[in-house]
Amino acid sequence: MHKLWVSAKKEFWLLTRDLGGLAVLFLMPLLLVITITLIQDNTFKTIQENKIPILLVDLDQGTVSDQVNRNLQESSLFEIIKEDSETNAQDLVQKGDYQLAIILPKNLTKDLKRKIDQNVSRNFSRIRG
Amino acid sequence: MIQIDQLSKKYKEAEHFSLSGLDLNIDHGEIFGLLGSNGAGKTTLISMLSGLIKPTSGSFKIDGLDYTSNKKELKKLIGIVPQEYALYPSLTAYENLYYFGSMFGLKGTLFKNSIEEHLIRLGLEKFAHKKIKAFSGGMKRRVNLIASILHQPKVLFLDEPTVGVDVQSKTVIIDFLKELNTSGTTIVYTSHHLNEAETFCTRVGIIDHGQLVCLGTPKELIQNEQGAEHPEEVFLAKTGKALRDYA
Repeated sequence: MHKLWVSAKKEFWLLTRDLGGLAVLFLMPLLLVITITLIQDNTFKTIQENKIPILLVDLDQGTVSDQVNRNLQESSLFEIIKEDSETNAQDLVQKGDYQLAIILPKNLTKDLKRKIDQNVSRNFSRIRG
Repeated sequence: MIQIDQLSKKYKEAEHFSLSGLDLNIDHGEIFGLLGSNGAGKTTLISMLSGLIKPTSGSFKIDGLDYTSNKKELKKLIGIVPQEYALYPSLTAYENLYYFGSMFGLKGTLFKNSIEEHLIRLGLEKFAHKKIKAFSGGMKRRVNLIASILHQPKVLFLDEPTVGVDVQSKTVIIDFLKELNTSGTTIVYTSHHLNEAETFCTRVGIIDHGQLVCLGTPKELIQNEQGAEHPEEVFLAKTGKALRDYA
């Protein structure tokens, strides 16, 4: 134990008398942290700034399509470009102007609601007997 | 005190043996001088006896203890003064001695007093709290010597302790070593200075090409060599005049 204590004391003496070494000991990790932070921040900014442009054809104009539209806007990964015609959207994707087009068909909200209602009614009728 | 039996050493990439089948006995209380040219095997022998390197073959005993099974006990028995300064330049002389002494388990007031006494004895008391990097070669040698004897070893190995040292420092070192020897420490030292060995050593051995070529008191060696009046003449007669360059 005494040997360990004296060795630690000796290392402390050596360190406190080597100001260059002491500076490097603390500055190097600090420099590393700053460099890595800057690199990560830059990567994060690049991802945030570069949004993927996609076409959205909303033929439904109902609550479901509103919800889809809102969620896509909030994800901040996509740049939503609204297109009225399904045929135009298909052409633009085929030409390669856009990578992706989302087509929300006419009466999507109504059809979904009707389907849900049908399922609920069927399940209730099964329970009743 | 030291019994060496057929001790040999061949370094990994070397073509020749640095030490080859060396037999030697050194008695208690001797000052034994190992003389030899550069690369003769002096440092190799001292390094093996100090436990710093392993022999390729052969064995040795110090104070009856075999090196293979008593490494810890042997380390306490011996002191080593290496050829190069083994000191921390940014620590003071006192701090260096305190550290090296502590590594031998020394502590307390007696230990601290012993450091101070030795510093006074070797004329370094004024420089006790000065950093080693400001010391001259002779001062560093003296601090190195103190570091190796604080634990009062029975055998002291010195590898060219007076190289690069002025006459005054050399005299202080030699006188101090004589005092140590009078108090019972066996001394084994290597040197190039043949005249120094003649006056200082009780017995000398000349090593050449890893083998002991000559052994005896300095007087005996001169008497036995026909026409020789000085140790240098004996040395050249035994080792030849060819240069000893190794790489």
